Amino acid sequence: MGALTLSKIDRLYWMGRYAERVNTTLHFLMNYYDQTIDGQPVDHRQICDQLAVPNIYKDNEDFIRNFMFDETNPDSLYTAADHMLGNGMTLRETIKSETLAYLQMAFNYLVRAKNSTSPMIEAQSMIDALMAFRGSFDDTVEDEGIRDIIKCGFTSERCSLYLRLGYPDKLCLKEMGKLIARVRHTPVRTRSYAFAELLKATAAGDGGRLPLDRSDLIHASEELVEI
Amino acid sequence: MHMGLTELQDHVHVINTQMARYGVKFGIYKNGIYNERLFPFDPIPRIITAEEFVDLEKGLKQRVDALNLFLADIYDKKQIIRDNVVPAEFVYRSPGYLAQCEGIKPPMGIFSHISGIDLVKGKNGTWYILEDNLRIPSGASYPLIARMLCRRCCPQTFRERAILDNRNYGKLLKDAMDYVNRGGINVILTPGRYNSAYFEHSYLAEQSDAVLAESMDLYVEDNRVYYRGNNGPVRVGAIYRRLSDDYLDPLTFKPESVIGVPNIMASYRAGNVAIMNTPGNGVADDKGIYYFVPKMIRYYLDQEPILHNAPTYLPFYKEDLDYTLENLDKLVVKDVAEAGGYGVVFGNSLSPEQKESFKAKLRQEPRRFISQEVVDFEDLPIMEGDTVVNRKADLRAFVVSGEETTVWPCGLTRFSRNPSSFIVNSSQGGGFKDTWVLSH
Repeated sequence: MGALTLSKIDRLYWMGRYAERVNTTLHFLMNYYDQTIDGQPVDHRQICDQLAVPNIYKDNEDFIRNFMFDETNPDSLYTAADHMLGNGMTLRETIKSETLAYLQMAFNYLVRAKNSTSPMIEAQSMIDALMAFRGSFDDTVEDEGIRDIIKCGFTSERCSLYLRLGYPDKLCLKEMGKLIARVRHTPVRTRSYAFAELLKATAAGDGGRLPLDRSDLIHASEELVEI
Repeated sequence: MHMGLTELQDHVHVINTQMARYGVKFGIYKNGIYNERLFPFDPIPRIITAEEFVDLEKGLKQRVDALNLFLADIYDKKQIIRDNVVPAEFVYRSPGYLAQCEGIKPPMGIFSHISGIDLVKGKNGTWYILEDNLRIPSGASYPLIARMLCRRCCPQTFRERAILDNRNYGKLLKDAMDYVNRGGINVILTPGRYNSAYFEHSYLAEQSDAVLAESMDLYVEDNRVYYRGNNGPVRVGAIYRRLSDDYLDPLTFKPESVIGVPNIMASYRAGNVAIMNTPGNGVADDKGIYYFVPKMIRYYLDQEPILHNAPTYLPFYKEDLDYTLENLDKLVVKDVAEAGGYGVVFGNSLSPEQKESFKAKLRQEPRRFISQEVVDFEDLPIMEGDTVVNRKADLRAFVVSGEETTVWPCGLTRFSRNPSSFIVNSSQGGGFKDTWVLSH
């Protein structure tokens, strides 16, 4: 890996984490929004509990609107997207303008969604841009070390969110396995207790089951990479 | 529309969508709040003929060479002061003069590596220099990316016309950095994401193959600058810094600066790193010194200036003060300590009370101001919605000094959105255009 400062490694990792936070949250909210149209959505208070964010929302509709678009809300998707782009902007010469443009496009779609009567159409375009971002950096960033740091960010965040949002054990185990494999050949330091926790869970989870209390695994996923 | 530019006009929406895709933005601080916005782009370019460019190129090189010689002289022998060509007062009282830079000889003797020279074209066809920017002139990245996106949107327009290629700006910058490099990597030092020109900093780093760094990424040890690499320190040989002198080194300038690099000046003084542009250049682009640039050209180069200043008066001299007071209505007065379109007063815009109060200020602090005849500069067509209207526009030409002095065959054309305004600065709500230099 070429010369990178610790601050750049930190930004690469967090760019990956925020990009995945936006991606996974968006998928989740699209399903949730669909339920609020004419289905039976889960009470938003439960989601706030799962995500460990304060419940400042009046009802499910307010939750959708606010949690997606409120730029003053530190937990919102908008804020996560802003951090994703902000980290990306500081890495232009590392990831190149062509790749950064996909993060900018994703952010631009979010702004459009905010002012749209069918926000999930724009959200779909946002997901398209995020997927293109993943493909673009994989294809154009030559340095494998840089690619791996970003991917570590993706996978850490995905594990954390899948575990928090109650995704099926099998899916969580698959992502945890990916995370372990990834950090093994990435030039980042890891915390041994977190690594051991994840390793133990994936080894014991061969039958596709996780412990009922997922909090230790959430913690391990988020704390695994030490920057 | 001249030159059949309808293809560009027809594609204005798609061009601007592309600009948004690449985040072509600049930031403004207003009332302490930072706002970032897209830099409005007008697709109708300014066109400079090949013949016109020959004179512009010669005149700009001449001016920048003279300014570099002036800086070398001022921070060393000061012969131009001794020979009474430039009054000492205009040098030592300039806020851009830095005593801390006395005696420093920059690598390869170059002070202003990237010069942004602002010009306007009068209705009589004559180009006038409005201002020299020798500190950290910004703006080259905008026409650079705009041209690329316009080519992508309207290829036929570019196939059919003989326009000089502007793709080489990144290479010019890299060559200039390599030329002065003292051993190590090239770095672009930025104050960070919330700087108004951050897009430019990051884009130029990419284009010139330099490393974009913030202050925390660099440190000085044994008078050498290092980049904190993940595999250990990496020596830095040249720094294109995009922060102002005051904030560059808290141990030399403002101690409260958190965006500078402690001891970077010691390394520079020891000749271990090149800083582009060199600290202390503000003494040569001071609005008061501007008056003396034609004299500098004659003094250092023994040549007649090819490009002209706008007719300028120095209230510092009694006869110029009297002229300014008597003719305030037809003059524009500029505060020499201000930039970015601030501190500019058009005499005819003042009420009688304001005029009297301003005259008192002029008498009290004559050194603080210059006055100029208002150059009736040409209007350029811009698109407003679907119609084309005429607005005032200037040109920032970029001159890169490395092994040779090179004028970039492009430039940033800025225009005013306000039909009655002569102020084109982006910080004042203006937009920009590409600048085409024709090859024949």
